[in-house]
Amino acid sequence: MTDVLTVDARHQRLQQEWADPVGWRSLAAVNHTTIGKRFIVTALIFFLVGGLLAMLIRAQLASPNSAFLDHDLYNQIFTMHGTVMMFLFAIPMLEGYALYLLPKMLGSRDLAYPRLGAYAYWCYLFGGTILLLALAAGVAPDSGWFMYTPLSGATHSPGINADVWLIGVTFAEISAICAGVELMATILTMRAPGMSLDKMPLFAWYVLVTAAMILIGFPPLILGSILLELERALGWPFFEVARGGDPLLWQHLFWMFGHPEVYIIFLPAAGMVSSMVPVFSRHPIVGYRWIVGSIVLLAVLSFGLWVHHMFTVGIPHLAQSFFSVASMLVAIPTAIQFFSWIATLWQGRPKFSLPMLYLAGFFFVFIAGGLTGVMLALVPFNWQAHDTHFVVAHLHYVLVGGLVFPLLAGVYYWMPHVTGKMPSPRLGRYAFWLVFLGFNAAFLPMHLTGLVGMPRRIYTYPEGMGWDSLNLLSSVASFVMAAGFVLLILDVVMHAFVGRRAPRNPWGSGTLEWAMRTPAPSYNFASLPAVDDRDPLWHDPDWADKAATGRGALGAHTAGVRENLIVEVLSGRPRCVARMPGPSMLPFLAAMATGLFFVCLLFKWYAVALVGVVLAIAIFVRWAIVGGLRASQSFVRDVLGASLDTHHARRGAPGEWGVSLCLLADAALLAALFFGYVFLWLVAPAWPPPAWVEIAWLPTLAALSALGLVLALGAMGGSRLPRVPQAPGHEADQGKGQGDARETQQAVGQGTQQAVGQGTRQAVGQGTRHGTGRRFLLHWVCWVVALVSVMALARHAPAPEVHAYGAVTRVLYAYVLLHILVAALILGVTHWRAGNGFFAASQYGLDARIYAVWARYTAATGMLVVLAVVAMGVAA
Amino acid sequence: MMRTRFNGFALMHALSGLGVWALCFVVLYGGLTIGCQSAWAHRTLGPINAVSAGLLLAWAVHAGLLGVMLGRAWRRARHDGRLSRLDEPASLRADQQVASGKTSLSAEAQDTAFVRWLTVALHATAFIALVALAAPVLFLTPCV
Repeated sequence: MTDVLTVDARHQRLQQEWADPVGWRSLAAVNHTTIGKRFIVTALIFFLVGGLLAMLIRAQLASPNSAFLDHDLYNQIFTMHGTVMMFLFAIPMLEGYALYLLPKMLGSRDLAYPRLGAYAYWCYLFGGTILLLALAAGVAPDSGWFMYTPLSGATHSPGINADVWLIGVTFAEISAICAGVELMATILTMRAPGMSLDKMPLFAWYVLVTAAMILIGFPPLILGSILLELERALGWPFFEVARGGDPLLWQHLFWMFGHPEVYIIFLPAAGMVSSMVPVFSRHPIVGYRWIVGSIVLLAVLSFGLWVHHMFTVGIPHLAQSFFSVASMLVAIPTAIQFFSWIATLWQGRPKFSLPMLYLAGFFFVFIAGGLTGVMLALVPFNWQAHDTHFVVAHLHYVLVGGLVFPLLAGVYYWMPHVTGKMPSPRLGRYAFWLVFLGFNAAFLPMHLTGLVGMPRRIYTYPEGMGWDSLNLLSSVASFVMAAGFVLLILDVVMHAFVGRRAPRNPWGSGTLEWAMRTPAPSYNFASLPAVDDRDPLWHDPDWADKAATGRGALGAHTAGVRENLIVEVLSGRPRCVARMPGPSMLPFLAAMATGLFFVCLLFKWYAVALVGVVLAIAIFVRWAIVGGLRASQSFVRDVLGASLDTHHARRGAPGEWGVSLCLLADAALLAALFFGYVFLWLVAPAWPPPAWVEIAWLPTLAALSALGLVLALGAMGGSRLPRVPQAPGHEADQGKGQGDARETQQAVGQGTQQAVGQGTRQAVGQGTRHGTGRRFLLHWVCWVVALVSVMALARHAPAPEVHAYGAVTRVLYAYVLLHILVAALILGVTHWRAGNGFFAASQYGLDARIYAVWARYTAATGMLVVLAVVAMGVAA
Repeated sequence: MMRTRFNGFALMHALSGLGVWALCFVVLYGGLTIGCQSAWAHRTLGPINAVSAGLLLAWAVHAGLLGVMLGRAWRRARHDGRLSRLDEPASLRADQQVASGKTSLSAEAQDTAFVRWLTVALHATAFIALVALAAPVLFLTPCV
C-alpha cells in the first residue's frame, strides 16, 4: 500500500522486502551487498593462502642450496602462488568491490541480474576450492601459472596436476564472465534518473571498461584451457608439433588473455584512486573526459601487447616492433590519468587522511613498475631480462603498486560504509609503513638479481653467483611486509568491535554510496531522486534526505515487489521499471551441478559428468521459466512525470543486454578459435594435409540453407516470434499484484486502453495464432536440419586424434552444434511459456527477443564456420 | 527538429576509430606472417620489399578510412557544440520534458556532446596510434 510513511517505517518495509534470508537459507542470497561482501571475504582468504605460499618461496630462496622445499613441491607452490593471486584474489576481489559498490554509486537498488551474481560467486568458490584441495592433496598444478606447453602436456605432466589448473581456473573464469556481464549491463541500464554517461562516477567508467575487457580477454584462455584439456584427456593434438599442432598457439592464447589481465586488474584499482583523490583533495576531478578517453584507449591498446611476453620465441623483428610500439603507446593513457590525479591534488586542498597514505604508496610503487615496463617493452632489453628475476620484480611492482595499494586505500576508505565504524589511524599507519618498506626492500633487490642473471622459477641456486645477500634481503623484507598485512587485518577485524561509530559520509565524498545509512541497507535507497551532477552529494546535499523520505523515483513501496529503475544508456532518462528477482536456491544448485560436471571431468568420469550437464540444464531451464515475468505481473509506474511500464515490455531490457553481452564473450572465444585455425594453417607444415581434405557438399549446402533461413527469418521479423499464442484466461490475471491506489488507477487506465484495442487485438490474435504456430514450426525445422547437417559434417571431418586439422575442425563444428542446441532450448522454453500464458497477446515477449538475438548469432557464426572449413578445403 | 536517437550504438561509434586501429594491427601482423610465407618475401617493388609495400598499402587504406571518420566526427562535434552553446545546462526539468515527449533539442544536445567529444578524442588518438604503427614498416626489413 502507498501511504505517508516515516523514514524508519519506509526503511523497515524496504529492508524486509530486499533482505536476504538467514541461516542455512542464506545460500539463496542474491542481494548485491551480500554477494559483494562474500566475494571480498573469500578473495581475502585466498590472498592469505597466496601470501603464505609466497612466504614459503622466500624461505626457500633465502639462502643458496636450501633444502627447505624439494623441487616438486616448490614447483607446485610457485605455480599456485601465481594462480591464486591472479585468478582467485585479484580479479574476484575487484569484482567484489564493484558488485558491492556500483549499484550504490549509481543510485540503483541492485545489480541487473542478482541471481547471476550469486551463481558467479558459487562458481568462484567451488573453482577455487578445487585448486586448494589439490594443493592440500599434493597434486596441485606445477607447470607455472601460465602452463606453457609442452611442459603442461600429457607427456611431461602425466598426473592430474595440470588438469586441476585447467578445470579449476576455467570454473573460476565462468564466474568472471558472469560478473562482467552483470556489471556491464548494470552500469549501462541501471542508474539514478538523470545520471547520463558524462555524470557517472569515474569508478563506474573504469568498471564498465574492465567488464568489457573481461568479456573479450578471458575467452581466449578459456578456449586454450578447453583445447589443452582435450589434448590431455582425449589425445586431440593442438599443441603437439608431430601431429600438426604448435606449442606457441598456447602462448598466444594465454597472453591474449594474460596481458589484458594486467589492465583488468589495474583499471578498477585506478577507479578507486579516481574516486578517492577528489574526496581528499576536496576538489572535483580534473580532466574527467580525458580520464574516460584514456581508460577506453588503454583498454583497446592493451589487446595489442600480448606478444611482448613472447619476444624471445622467434617472431620476426617487424612483428615484434608492432607489439613494442603498442607497449610504449600504452604509457600515454596511463600518464593522462596520473596527470589528472596530480592536477586534482594541485588544484584542491589535500588532506592527508589514512587512505591517502596508501594512495601515495600506489603512486610511488606503480610508477616504478610502469617505468620498468617501458624498459621491458623495448625488444633488445627484453631479450636480456627475459625470464629473470627482473621480470619478477617488475610484475610485482605493477601488480602490488597497481592493485594492492589502491585496494588497501579502498579498504580504509570504504570500511566505515561496510561496518559503520571508523578505522584506527594509528594501526593503519603502522601497517602501511611495514607493507611499503617491506615491499620495496623485498622487490627492489630482485631487479639487481635479475640483471646479474638469476632466472625465474628456480627452486635453489649455488653459492658464489652474487645472488646470496640480495636474496636474503628480499626474504627478510618479505616477512616484514607480511607482518604489515597481519597488522592491517588485525586493524580491520578490531575496528568492527572497538571502532568509533562512523558519521554518515565521514570523508565528505560527493558520490552516492555515502547517501545511505551505514552499514548499508539491503535496498540501498528508499527512493531514487534525480542526479544532475558528477558529484551529486556536493551539488545537492539534500539528496540523501530526498532519497530516504521517498521524494525520488519509485518512492511508493509496493508489498511483494522489488522494483528498480532502468534508464536510457546515454542520457540516463527513466526508461522502464525492472521487477527484480528475490532470493533463490537455483544459483547455488546450478553452481553445484556445474561443479559436478567439472569434478567429473577432472577424474575422467565422463558418464557422471553427463549427469552434471543434464542437471545443470534442468536447473537453468527452471531458472528461465520461473525467472521470467508473466504478462499479468506488468505494472505502470509514474516516474518523474512519465508513465513507465515493466522492463519486459520494452526493447533494451536487461535480459537482452545480458544475452548480447554473453554473445560478445562467445564471439571472442570464436575469434580466438579462428585465430588458432589460421595460425596453424600458416605456421604448421603441410596444414591441412591435402589428402584428408574432402568437402562434403550435401551437408554443407543443407547447413548453409537452414542457417541462412534462420537469418532470413530474422531479417523479416519472423525470428522475433512476436505474436505468441495467448493462453485462455490470461486477461483474468491482469491487475494481479497491483496493490496501491495509483497502480489501480493506472491499471484502470490500461484497462480502458485494452478495451479500446480489444476488438482489433482479437482479430489480429486470431489471425496470427496460426501464423505464429507456423513460425515456431519453421524454426524447429531449420534447427533440426542444421543440427543433422553439422553433425554429418563433423562425422565427415578427419579423425581428431590423428592431426590438429581434424581436431580443430571438430572443435569448430562442436561450437556450432552447441549453439544450435542452446537455440533449440531457448526456443523450447519460449514455446512452452507462450503456451502457458506468460505473454500478452499483442506483446513482443522478452523471451522471443532473447531467442532472436541468440538465433541470429548462431546462424551467422554457424555459416561462418561452415564457410571457413570449405575455404580451407578449397585452399588446400 | 528531429530528435536524436540515443542508444548503445553511439558508444560503439565512439569506439569505431580504435576498432580501425585494431583491425589495422591484425592486418599488419597477419599480413606480415602470410607475406613472409609466400613468394612475395623475396620480391621487390622499386626500392622496397614487396611485403613491406603490401603492408604500407594496407596501412594507408586504414589511415585513409580513419582520417575520414575523424573528419566527420570532428565536424559533427563542432556542429553539436554550436547548438549546445545556445542551450541551458541539462537539468532535470529538461529531462522530464524529454521523458514526457515535450522536448527541444537542448537536453539531447547536452547528452550527445560528451559522446561526440569522446568520439573525436578516441578517433584522434587511434589515428596517432596508427601513425606510430607505420614507423616500423618503413624502417625495418620484414621476415627477418
